[in-house]
Amino acid sequence: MARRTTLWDHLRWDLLAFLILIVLVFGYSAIQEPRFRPAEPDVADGSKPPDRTEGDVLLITPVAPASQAREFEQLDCTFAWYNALWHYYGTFASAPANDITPQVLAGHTVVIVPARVAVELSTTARSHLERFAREGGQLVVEMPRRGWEPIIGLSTIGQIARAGNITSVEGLGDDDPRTEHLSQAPLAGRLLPSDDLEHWPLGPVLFDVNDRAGLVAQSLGEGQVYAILFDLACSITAMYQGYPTERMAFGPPGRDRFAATAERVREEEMLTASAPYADLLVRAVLDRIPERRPLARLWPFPAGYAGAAMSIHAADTNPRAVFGYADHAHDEDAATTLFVAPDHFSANHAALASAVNADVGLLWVLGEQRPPITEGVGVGAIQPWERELPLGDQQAMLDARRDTPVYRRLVRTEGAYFETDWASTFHAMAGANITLDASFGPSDPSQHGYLFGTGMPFHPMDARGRLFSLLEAPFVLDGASVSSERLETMFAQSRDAFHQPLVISLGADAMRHQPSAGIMLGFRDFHDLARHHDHWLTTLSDYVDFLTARRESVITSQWSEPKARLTVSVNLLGAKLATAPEGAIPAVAVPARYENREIEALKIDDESLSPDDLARSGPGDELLLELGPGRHVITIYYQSSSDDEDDEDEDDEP
Amino acid sequence: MAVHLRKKQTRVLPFRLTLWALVAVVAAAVLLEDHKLTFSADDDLSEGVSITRETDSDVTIVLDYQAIRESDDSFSGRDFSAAWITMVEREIGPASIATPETLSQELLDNSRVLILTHSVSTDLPSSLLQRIREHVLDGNVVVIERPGGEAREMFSASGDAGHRRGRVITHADAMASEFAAGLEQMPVLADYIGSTSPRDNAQTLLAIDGAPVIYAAEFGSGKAITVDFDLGRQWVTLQQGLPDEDFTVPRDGADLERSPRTSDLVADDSLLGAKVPYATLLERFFVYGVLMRYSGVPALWLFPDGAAGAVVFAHEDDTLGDGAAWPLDYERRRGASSTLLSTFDSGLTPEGAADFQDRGGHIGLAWRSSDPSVAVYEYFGFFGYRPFQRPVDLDTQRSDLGDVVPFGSIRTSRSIEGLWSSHWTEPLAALAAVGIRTDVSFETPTHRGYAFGSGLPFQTISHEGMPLGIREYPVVVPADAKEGPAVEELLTESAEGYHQLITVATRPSAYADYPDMDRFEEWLSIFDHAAAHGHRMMNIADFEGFQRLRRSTTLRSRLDRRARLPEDLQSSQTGPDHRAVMLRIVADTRRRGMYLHVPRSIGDAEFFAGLEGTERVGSEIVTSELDPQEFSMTGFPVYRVRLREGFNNIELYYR
Repeated sequence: MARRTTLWDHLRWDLLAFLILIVLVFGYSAIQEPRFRPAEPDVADGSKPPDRTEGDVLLITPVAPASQAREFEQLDCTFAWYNALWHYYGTFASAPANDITPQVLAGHTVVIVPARVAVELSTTARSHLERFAREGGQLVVEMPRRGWEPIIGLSTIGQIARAGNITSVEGLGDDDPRTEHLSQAPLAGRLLPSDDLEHWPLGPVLFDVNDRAGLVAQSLGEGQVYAILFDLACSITAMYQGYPTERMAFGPPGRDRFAATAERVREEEMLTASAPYADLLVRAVLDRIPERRPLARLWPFPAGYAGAAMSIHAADTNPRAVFGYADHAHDEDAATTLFVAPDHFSANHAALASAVNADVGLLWVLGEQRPPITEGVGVGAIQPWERELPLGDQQAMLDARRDTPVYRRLVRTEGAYFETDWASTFHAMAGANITLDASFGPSDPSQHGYLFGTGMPFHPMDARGRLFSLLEAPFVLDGASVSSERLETMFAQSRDAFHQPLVISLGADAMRHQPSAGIMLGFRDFHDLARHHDHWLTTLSDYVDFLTARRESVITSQWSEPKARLTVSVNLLGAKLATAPEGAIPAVAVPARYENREIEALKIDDESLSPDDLARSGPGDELLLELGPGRHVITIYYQSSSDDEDDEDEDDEP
Repeated sequence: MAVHLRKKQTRVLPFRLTLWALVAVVAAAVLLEDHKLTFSADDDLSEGVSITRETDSDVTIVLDYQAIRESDDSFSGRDFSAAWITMVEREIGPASIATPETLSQELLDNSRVLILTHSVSTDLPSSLLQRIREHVLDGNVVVIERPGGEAREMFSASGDAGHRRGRVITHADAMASEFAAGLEQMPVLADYIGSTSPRDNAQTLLAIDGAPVIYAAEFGSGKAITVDFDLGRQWVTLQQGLPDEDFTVPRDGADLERSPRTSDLVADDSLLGAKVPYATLLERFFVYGVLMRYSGVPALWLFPDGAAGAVVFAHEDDTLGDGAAWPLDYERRRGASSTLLSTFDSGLTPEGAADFQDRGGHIGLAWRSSDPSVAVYEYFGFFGYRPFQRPVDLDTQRSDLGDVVPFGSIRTSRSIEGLWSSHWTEPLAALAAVGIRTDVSFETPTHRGYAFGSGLPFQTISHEGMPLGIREYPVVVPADAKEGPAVEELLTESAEGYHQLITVATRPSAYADYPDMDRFEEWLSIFDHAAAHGHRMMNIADFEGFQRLRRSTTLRSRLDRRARLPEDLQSSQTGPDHRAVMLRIVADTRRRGMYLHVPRSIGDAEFFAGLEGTERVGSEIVTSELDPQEFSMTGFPVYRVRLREGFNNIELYYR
């Protein structure tokens, strides 16, 4: 008996075809919209910078790294001194605390003892330092506590307070920019108690913090001891890298993974900081040393310049707009740094960038303001997954599109966004061997100035207080905050007082999201203003190359108090750069006066020069000597105190 | 068995068909969702407006709109008499506009210059013609365009040589040579009427190909001026472009796949990059070289505060929204303003629009035509399924933008990229229908200059010859133009004689794509050049507002050829009878900074002195002597008199 055929029997091939059709449609849509796998970046930690032995200034470093800080107050800020001394002196020596011997100290004029070292230093080492000071050395001790009393000449035992602001500064003129701005510098960390001391010139207090002694200078034998009674290094760190609210994170708990770097700033007032407070704070201490013992340093710019000017331009998609800025800079005989997304950057773009002498860096795509960069994962054309490219792969993708070897890896994050914890983004950058990041700066037209306390590039710090080898180069103006008037003010202040590298950022979207005539007028005038105010028009790469050469130079000095003679030995290294084809060599800055006595005579390699013919720093307190690369001996004679008396006698004559 | 199987198959077939039909329907629905069916937008079109106006003015233009509408429905056959309105209003200011029905005896008596356009000049009733004749005999001026029948016999040459195609202007009487040379280079785009012999005692004022086309004849103590040349068509063609006979936009040599643009309208290749505003030259020749010369009628100066010209900034935006207001920051610093033409979907917010208007900016619509390259579509369908689309119509675009703009309504427009339709005036008619009153769409993207014959705005005319109620502001400096005269050259020549409105179009978003510093510097230089050459920088609303006031100003004059000089002006040299020709002018202005142009001579009499009634003391009007400035108006010498706000009573004496 034959089986009864059903509707299914007749339609089974149709249904099978229908099923295959359904499968094909779903398969197609899976390929069209593959599953997303977020990036897993390689990361690297910070490290202790290598020690150097030569230099007038010696930084004593801790022997062992600190433990991971869970709160900012636990952070070991010792290596903030590394940035501070590098910025100020250009070159200096460093040695671990367990290596402090009279022989090690012998070649130096100034010794810096950071807060943690001051606590951990052995009695023997302290006695070496005491002797160093008594024999004429300049000793700077941060947060000196128990055991330091005989050296610093005061007791710091008692209730520790939180440092707030500098409340008075002694010994500087009223028109000195440090006097005007220091009280606005936000301090972080602790403030030690001290004896009730007189203020300079009657006593040793050079400035107050919270109306208590903040910096105390006491003579010890033939030398001088400076006691910094607040967390100077942590105050700098909180300005450089931001001040986390809790658990070393920025913003409220549970906030987004990424936020604009401007949200890290120490306090709201810093969003419009008109002065580089971190640098001024360092100068408030280090500028006092030459008052007792003249000291030379390497000027942070090539000879003839009062500052530097750089423009950076980021494009997270099509880079066409940033070439507009680069073209204009090229027309103005200047160069720019472009940060480009690798998926929108072609070999033609690379050739165009070369044609206009523009540096090219990576715009690290985070997928926050635009789709992430991904690659398909699967077999052949069937790729149902897509993997987000981590920083290293994005860098490799960009490198592949360039025809020139890349020796400095510059990066800017998409939207100037960073992870909201202390240093994850820096760890990822370190893991990808990035050499410089330029993401710190204003992100809103209402924000402008030195949001991070400085215009100088600095090494960021991880949560164990170790420095990353990469540099963070903050910018001071961005997009609609750029205007000719603001640039004029900033350049003038930089020339006359602050001596800063000024980086402005104009992204590809500047004239789209915040268009203003000020942007165009500002960028039109940028190069003229920079030249007018003696600023070196350069690029981030070139400036870092210059700073690196400056760091590798050596400067030592000898001082003869009876003869009022300063002998400076320098071995200057320079860098031959696209923006300084003749070579960028740092000037040597020497104090223009010692105890109110002017320079009487000056010789460079036995050749006499008139001090009147030399350039001066903005405030006029330093002479800037322009030298060629190599070794030089500079001899400076200050008027002796007997000359003054003679002068006075002569003045008294009828 | 085979029959059995077939039966089974037949029974299954509906199921099979249903299954695959369902699959097909679902596939079609999905496909339609992604590839929607497009319908065209349905914009209303204006038929134009019959403008009539009775003002306190010296000049009356007589038009017959019925005759205009009934003229031949081809470009060459259409009557463009309505173009006279623009000419008189642009150069003189106030004018009355009448039809044969509304031309009252009072209006006729008050008209020192009566313009009988071609729409009425061929079929004037005898009674009206007699009244006009008497009016002219009384010392007034009649202008009659291409008359016919009895009017021709009365005022003009025979015209028996018929219609001729004009080629070149060969004579422009009394015009300074440098400007006359410009006129001679103007492409002649209209016919003239030839006569085998000139009219007796007629003086040729303008000749084409050697034939007199404008000539003046003594008529009693008045003048009859015949325009035997299709002046209306010449103006319309120069300014509004030259379509094919059926009013389609010519596409000679153009890529037929692309939509027409306003640049396709340009009447003659020689106009591309023209640095001479031919239409302006022609109308100034007529107003200053003919009307003022024979009637002495005064003219109100075109620009506020005696400026030599004006620059209007028009910024087009479809992407930046509020951000497109950025040029205004700089413009305000330079005492300028601008018009922002924004699309309805640009992102302009009420706050952004209010801020822009608070700072003196003017907002108009950058309208998206239905061209696929710029159109934005609205979707429609049923039950949430929307497989159909049509371009957002003009009315919706205007009302959507109007909802964003807090003050005033949207009255100004610009077609994005100058996109036009294949019909000569359809877009203008569509704009007029939704209440647009000024438009800035006419431009030649590659060339600066007067491609549309003038920089001054003109009343647009429909394909039926009717005024559309929209004034077109032709762009003289397009955003991306690289060819044609430089901006500085245009401004220099404008200051030295052409006295033009120079509309500068920009796209603020261009800097978002590529912040071109050279382009920016060029834009900045316009401010310097405009200031150096005495050009006022303003927006379209401000310019239009000034023109409205100017057109509505009371301006009347009377000529007394046997006046006696006031005692203050009498001397031994004026004796013994102390007679002079007196031009008395009454002007009532509602704005400061208005100026009057008066003739430097009337007939053989040269300007001698002028008095201004300044204040009333008791029943006496105390007068003061005027100090008019000499001025060359596009090659015609005139005096310029500053008017006070309010009532002005001026007496000018010529001897």
